[in-house]
Amino acid sequence: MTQPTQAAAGLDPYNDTADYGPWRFLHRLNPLSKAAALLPVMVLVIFTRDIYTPLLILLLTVALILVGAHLSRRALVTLLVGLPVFVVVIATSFGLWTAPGDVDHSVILFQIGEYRFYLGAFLIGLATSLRLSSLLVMALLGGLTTTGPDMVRSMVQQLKVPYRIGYTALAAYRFVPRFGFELETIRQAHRVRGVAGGRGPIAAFKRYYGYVIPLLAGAIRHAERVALAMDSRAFGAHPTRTERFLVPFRVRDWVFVLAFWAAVAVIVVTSPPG
Amino acid sequence: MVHTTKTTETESTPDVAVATGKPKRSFRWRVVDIVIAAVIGVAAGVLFWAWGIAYEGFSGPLKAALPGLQGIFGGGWLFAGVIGGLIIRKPGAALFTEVIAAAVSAAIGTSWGVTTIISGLLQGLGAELVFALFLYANWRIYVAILAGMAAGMAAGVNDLIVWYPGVTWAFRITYFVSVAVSGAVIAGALSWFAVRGIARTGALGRFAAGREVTADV
Repeated sequence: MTQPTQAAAGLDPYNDTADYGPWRFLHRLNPLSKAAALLPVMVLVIFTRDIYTPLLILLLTVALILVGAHLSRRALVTLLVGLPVFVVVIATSFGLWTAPGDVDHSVILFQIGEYRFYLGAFLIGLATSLRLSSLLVMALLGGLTTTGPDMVRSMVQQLKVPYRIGYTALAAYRFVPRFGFELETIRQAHRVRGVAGGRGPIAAFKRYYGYVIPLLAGAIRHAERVALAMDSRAFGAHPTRTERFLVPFRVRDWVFVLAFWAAVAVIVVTSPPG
Repeated sequence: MVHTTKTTETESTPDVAVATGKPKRSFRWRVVDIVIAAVIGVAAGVLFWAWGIAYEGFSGPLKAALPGLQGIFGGGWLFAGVIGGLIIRKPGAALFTEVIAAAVSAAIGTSWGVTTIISGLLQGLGAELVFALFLYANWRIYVAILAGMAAGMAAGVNDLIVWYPGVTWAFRITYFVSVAVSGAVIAGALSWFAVRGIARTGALGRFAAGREVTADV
C-alpha cells in the first residue's frame, strides 16, 4: 500500500496489496473499516426473520462488490449465477425442515403423499436462505478485497493487538500450503501401508483420526524450529516494533463505514412491520 | 534437537522446573507457546477443511434417519481448542487455537464462509471456560471431556440460531445433545489421547504436557 511502484514491479514478495484504481475503491480501504462496517450488520442480519431486510442488504452488498472490487471471472460467475441458485436451493431445503405447525397453510406449492409443502414454509426457508447468503456476500466483500497480511497489520497497528501474537499468527498462516502437502504425504503413506482401509463412515473416521497425530507432531516440530529462529532474532524482546508496511486508517475509511451504516439504517427503518 | 534447545530460551522461565520437582508455573506466553498454538491452529484448520468435505458425504444418511443427528459429526470442528489448551496450558490458548483453526479453514474455503470464524470464537470460548474453571491447573481426561462438551454446547446453540431457525423442538434437542456428545467424545476424550500420542512422539519436549508423559517411562 505504501510502495505501490515496488509492488507493481514485483520486487517485494511481502507487499501483496493490489491496487486497481479509484473505481475499485474497496481495495484501497483499511481492512478494519470493512470489518467495522460489516460486522454489526452481520449480527443484525443473524437476528432478522423477515425477507425484506436481508434481501436489500444482499443487493446493496452485491452492488458494492460489483462496483468496488476487482473480480476474477470465477468470482463474477459465483456472484451472478451461483448466488441465485444457492438462494433457491437453500430456501427449498430449509423450507422442508420448517416445523409445519407454525406456518401459513393457505397455499400448497406441491404435495408428495401425505407431505404438503406450503408456501408459508417456503417463505420461511427463503428468509433463512437470504439471511445466510447476505452473510456470505458480506464476508465476500471483505474477503475478495483484503489480504490476510494487511488484515493482521491493521489489527496490530490500529487495534493494538500485541505484535507478538499478530505476526506469529501471520507466520503460521504461511505454513498452510506446507500442511496441505504434509497431509497429502501422510494420506499416501497410510494408503501405501493399507492403514484403515474400507468404506463407510466408521472407516472414514478411523482414517481421519490417524492423520491427526502425525500431522500435529510434524507441525509442532516445525513450529519449534520456527520459534527458535524467532527467539534467536530477538522477536518479542521489545514492547514495540517498527513497521515495514503501514496500513493507515484514513478519512475515506470513516466515510465508508458511516455511509454503509446509514444505508443499512434506511433499509431497517423502511422494512415493513411484521 | 529438543534437548539442545532448552538453554537457548530467551524468555525467563520454562513452564516447570524439570528435575527439581518444584513446579513453577507462569501464565506468560513464551514465543514458542504462541508459535505452537498458532501452528496447531493452522494444522487443525486444514483438518477442519478436510472434515467439512467428508461431512458433506456422510451426514446425508443421518439427516434422513433422524433429523438433527448430523450434529454427531460436529466434534470434528471442536478439537482444536481442546488440543491447544491441553498442550499450551495457558489462559487463552484454547480460544486462540480454535479461532485460528476456524479462520484458516474459512480462508482455504469451506461452504460456510466467514460464519466459521464466529462459530470458532464461541466454540473456543466454551472450551476455554472449562479450563478456566479448573484454574488452568487440571489437565486430566475428565476436564478435557468437559471442555469438549462445553465447546459442543456452544456450537449447538450457535448453529441452531444461525443455521436452523424455526425447526421443531425435537430437531433442536436431538441436534444439541448430539453436538454436545460429539464434543465430549471426539473433541474431549480423543483430543486427550491425541495429545498423549503427540507427547509420546517426543514432539512436546518443551511443554509440561510432554514432560509429564515422557517422565512416566
